[in-house]
Amino acid sequence: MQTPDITYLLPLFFVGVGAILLMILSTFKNINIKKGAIASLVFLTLAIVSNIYNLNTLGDIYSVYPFSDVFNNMIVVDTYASYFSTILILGGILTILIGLHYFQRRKEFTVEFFSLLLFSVFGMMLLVHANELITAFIALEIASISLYIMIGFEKVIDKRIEASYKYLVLGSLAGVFFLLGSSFIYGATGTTSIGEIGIFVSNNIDSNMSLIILGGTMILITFLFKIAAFPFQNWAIDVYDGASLPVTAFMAATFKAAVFGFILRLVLVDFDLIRDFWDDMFVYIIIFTLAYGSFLAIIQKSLKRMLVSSSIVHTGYLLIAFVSIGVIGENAASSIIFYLVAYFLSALGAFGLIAYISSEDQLRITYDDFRGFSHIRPYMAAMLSVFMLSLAGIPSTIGFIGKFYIFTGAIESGNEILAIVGITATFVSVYYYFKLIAVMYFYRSPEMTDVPPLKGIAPLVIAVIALMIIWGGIGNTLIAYFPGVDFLIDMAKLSYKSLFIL
Amino acid sequence: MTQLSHMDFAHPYFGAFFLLAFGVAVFYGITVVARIVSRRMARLDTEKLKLTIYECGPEVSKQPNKISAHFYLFALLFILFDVEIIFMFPWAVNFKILGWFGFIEMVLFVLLLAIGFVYAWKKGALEWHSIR
Repeated sequence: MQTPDITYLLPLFFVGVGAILLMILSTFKNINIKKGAIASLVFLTLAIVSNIYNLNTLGDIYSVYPFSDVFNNMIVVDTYASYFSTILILGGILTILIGLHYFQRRKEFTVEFFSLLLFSVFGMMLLVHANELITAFIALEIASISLYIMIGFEKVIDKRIEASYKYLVLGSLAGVFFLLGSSFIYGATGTTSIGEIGIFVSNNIDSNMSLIILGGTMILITFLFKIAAFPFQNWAIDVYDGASLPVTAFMAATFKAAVFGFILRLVLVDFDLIRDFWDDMFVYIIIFTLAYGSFLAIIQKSLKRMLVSSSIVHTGYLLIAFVSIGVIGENAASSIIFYLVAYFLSALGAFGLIAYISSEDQLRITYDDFRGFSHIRPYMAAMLSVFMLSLAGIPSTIGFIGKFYIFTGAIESGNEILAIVGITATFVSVYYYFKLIAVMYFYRSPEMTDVPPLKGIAPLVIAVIALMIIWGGIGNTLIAYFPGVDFLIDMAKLSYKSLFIL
Repeated sequence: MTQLSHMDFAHPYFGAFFLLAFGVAVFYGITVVARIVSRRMARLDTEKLKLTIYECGPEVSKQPNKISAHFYLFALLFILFDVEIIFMFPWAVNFKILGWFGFIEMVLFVLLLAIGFVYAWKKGALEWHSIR
């Protein structure tokens, strides 16, 4: 039986329509934060259910252009996009669940916030579904503009406004490069559709490629800006630090995945033959990203700023696999996708738990404030330790397996220098992650006892994330048939293959 | 394959590059010259009329009434319809070619904008000084 086209688009449809409906709902007076959160959770759950339904029923690998006469093949639904969409919707759901306590505590949050969150998820999903440069730009801007507002939502705090404004100005500037690059590529190839650019490149490989390379470089500049890689990393600390913690968690966990999702599609499908040009550039970018991010993370006193700086380091790890794509395409691409999942879980858990702890007051900010935390809240300290271990890449967590795939991939593809630099950065990262664990467990200063007790849904969700991280590390050795790491890796490989079947 | 590495005067883009470099140089040069000229040749005496704000002839006066920031919202809502018209015009010209498909697309577009307008309305953006 022919599947109707709308089935493919149901996840996008639910999130988009949900965002618009929430906007209308927010004008009614009797809709409070809790009802808004439940409504948005309903829409996101519908979206993720329909997405998983697509993944299950359409076969292992699929790739279709829904409504190709209307959308002109601008939107593609394949295993790859569905896999990324699952991550992104899950990010939205977990952010709402974790942040609910925080949102209810602060007066400035209204129901519109959830509408913006859904719009942002919608933009990111459209970005990974986009099969055309202008569609991708519009999707990127939908996601970014929603994020700009979400960052500045608590408008009584100057830091939020400053972060929002900085991100708005710099993000728009970076977006311009994307358009410039698209116009160069259109000028050279006569198309902005992703598959057709690839066909043009492979047909005219002997002729002059300067204009396409120039356009590709411009698009990569936007990409490097959005994931906060080395020459464009300075906005990250101020913006992530200025945003409220649930928003930081959302940005750190999902936005990076969405941007990587699009750029991997672009590079793998279109620039496969001319990618060598950028390899040298990326080697230097990675080395500087890792070095600078590690340096920034070491000197931070505030826990939030340390996590943000370390997110720059994680960008560096991801880019290592990005370079190895040239030699071992399938393994490198799937290791990027897997590492994105691992980082997504760890970062969301870490930021979410700190958000929960600091939602009552702003007292616990620096390392010193967490002295003797394990004596006051042993369970929270244990969960925080799990997240730190996973971010540092210690075995028995999912973070280790992610790093393992990336570094072995780098060695296999002959980039030993990058592997060495990456492993050195990992060793350095042990310092700033374990400092928190040491401070929590080996010191005793129980002066501040005003920590929120474990109540509500947020600690439960965070505990589930912590269990998932440990399950990702040791799971498959215990119970073979329950989905674990192998399942994620296999899915990542299938989604990589689905890029090339049309 | 990649020809960015060597200098090539016969390259088709060399002329464009030369123009770009020339433009930047001229721009920078004019800025520098203008600064030097204005430093050296300006009349530095202070006169009362010279130091006042230039307002196209009429004397500068303080704004007697403050203009409410509320006008800003009205201007934004005006732009909502303004942009709608811009997109409707080419659609109306090609109405017969686009047919029902174009009609449905335009209805969707107007509906989305109308939802935004209703949102602003419900929030009280059209009532003076009563934003909820």
